[in-house]
Amino acid sequence: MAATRTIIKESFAISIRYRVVLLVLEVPTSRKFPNGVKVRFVMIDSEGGFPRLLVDNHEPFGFHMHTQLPEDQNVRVPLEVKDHNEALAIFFKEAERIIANERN
Amino acid sequence: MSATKSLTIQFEGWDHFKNRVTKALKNKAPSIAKKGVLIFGSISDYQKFMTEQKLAILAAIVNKKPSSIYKLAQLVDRDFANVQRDCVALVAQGFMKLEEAGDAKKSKIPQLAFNYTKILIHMPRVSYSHNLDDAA
Repeated sequence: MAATRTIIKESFAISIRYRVVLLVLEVPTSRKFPNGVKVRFVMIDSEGGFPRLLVDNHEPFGFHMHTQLPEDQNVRVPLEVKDHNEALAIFFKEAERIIANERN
Repeated sequence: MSATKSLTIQFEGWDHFKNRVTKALKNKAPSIAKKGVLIFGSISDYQKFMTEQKLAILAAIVNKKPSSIYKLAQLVDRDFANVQRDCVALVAQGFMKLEEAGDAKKSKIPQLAFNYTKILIHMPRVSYSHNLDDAA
């Protein structure tokens, strides 16, 4: 079995309230991760200590975004993307939208 | 293996961070944050976040090793709820962690994210100018 390889493991305080944590792993292909890539992009709210926004890609959902955290973990918005690069771009855009809303 | 003793704060612009990570992901070139380094978007964000009260919390954890947030609040002589709120923020930003004590009260043991005794602020080189010939 192929070993897991870390491609991205980064975190960044996007504001005094929010920190984004990015994780991309190359994993053995499986039913859960048929493309052999596991993605987890999360934006953590430091005022409550919970994820405010989360993008991941496990089956049976494929790339999707949790937009109603922490109230409803089951709300998943499917992402029309062809790969993890596009998913990351959408995550960045959504994170920026949340920060902009905070400032308004 | 010796423990890292310093937690380093570095600063990077959001656009720079986005570009760096995006490029790394496209090229599948590993981009892995160094252990013991936290990145903030600006010096002012860090200064607003890291209040004297939060520093006192971290110092109390280093020096007194409190076994609960309640005891930590007593050590820093502040209201429990306010200390708990600051702890949650410090956890979310990567400075500390809250370990389950495993007792009936479900209390949490405040601990540093790793064994450090100093926070090193890595200031970027700053240079700026005032164009005096533009002034009236």
